[in-house]
Amino acid sequence: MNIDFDFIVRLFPDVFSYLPITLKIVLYALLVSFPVGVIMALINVKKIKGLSQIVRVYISLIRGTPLILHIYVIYTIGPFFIEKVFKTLHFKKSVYDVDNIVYAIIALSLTTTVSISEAIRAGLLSVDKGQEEAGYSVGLSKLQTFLRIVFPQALVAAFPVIGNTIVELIKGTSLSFLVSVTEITGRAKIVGGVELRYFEAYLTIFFVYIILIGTVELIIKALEKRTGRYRYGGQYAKS
Amino acid sequence: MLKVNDVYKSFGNNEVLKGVSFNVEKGDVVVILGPSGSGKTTLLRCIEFFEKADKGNVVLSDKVYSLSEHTKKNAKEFRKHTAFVFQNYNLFNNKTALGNVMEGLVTARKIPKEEAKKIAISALEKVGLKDRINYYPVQLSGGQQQRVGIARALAVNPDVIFFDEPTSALDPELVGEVLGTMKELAKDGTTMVVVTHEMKFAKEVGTKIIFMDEGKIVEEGAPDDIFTIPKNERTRQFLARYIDNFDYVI
Repeated sequence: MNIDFDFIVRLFPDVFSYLPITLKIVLYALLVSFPVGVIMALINVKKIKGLSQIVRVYISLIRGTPLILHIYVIYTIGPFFIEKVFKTLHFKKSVYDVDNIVYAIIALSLTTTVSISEAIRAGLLSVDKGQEEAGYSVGLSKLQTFLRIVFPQALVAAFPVIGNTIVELIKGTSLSFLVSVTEITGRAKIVGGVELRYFEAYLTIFFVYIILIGTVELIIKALEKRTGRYRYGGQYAKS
Repeated sequence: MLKVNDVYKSFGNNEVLKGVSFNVEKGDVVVILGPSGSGKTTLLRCIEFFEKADKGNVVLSDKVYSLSEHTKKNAKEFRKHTAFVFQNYNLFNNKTALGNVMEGLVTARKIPKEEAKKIAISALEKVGLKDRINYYPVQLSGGQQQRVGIARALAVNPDVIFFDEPTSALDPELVGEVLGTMKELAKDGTTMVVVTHEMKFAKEVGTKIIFMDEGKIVEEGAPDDIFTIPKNERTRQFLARYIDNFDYVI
């Protein structure tokens, strides 16, 4: 087997230029998943009747099915719903104007929401009830206590798991080419197909992903240290 | 100034408080003593609205707060005029010593940051922790954490501070520094209600001792009386080790 290194060197900047598409999917998926995940975690922790059952069913449904299926299902029935929404809101847009990237973002958000909500739920449960009482005792309201005392601590506790979720999400974007979104993997497949050099194409994006995820992990680690400095004391404390 | 009236509280079938009433005057240090399970902590928790009592109310500066029908407004109002020191400190883990003390001033009472900082620093100075203001709770010893807890209570200038066994989680060496701090507060005329097992503190600092057993107040009075001639048999039993024994005959 001979590997065409020139091809790899040529392809690398080419696929790398599709990084913004991948990042766009990640960013939008997080923007949807994070608030929804937090709300779901709250519903679960506060055991709000009715809603918490719905949330739990949703979590089991999503966790019990593969990501690729979510993508296919959203791609098949998504347009139907979007058309309905457009009609009821009297939008002049057609469903065919909707970029496929939207379906990828929705599908990936489904799983990411579940992971984030479970991480935050564990985080919320890890905060001692005494923290809440202390908040009330100094005169804070329920909302103030939650926003200033409980939630920040829950978030820090959940941070490592959320970091993993983000990494999973980045890897999940590689399935977007199934709905013909050209991101890193999609581009490699196309070029690899044109020049019939699949192996080199895959090897290239192997490195692209390693670099991308390596960088993201470094950022997450740094953030973890920074936000969690009160937990370790000592070296991180005073800054 | 503070009147607690007829507090009843049950957990399921277990009746923990059976009609507890007492008064606190300004500058008083009321010490509540009693065996474990006698309802001391529950009493304090009911008064601070952490538990809902079945019956009873509390009167603070002529305003009546029902303890059996909690309203958000009542709880918030009452807590604005009082402060609570917890057995396991319950400092805000995500805030420094200074942040812990400032929180109630800035967020709850809307005092400008600069002013709040000044108040907070002087409160921390009072408990002898001026050099630790930027430390997080994990970096402080138990005794220091509890003193921050006291500073946090002190800073809001409350009418009354409730102490729920403030030294029970500390080793004997650290108990001294916390009790010393509380003694200073008492000297300054801070009104305190203290649940504790520290008899020496009760005797020296207390202005009024309440002895509780099985959800009732069985005896109350000045420390000199209770620690020398307790009227009640149960009090005598409980305090046996601490009562001044005159084992000589005149």
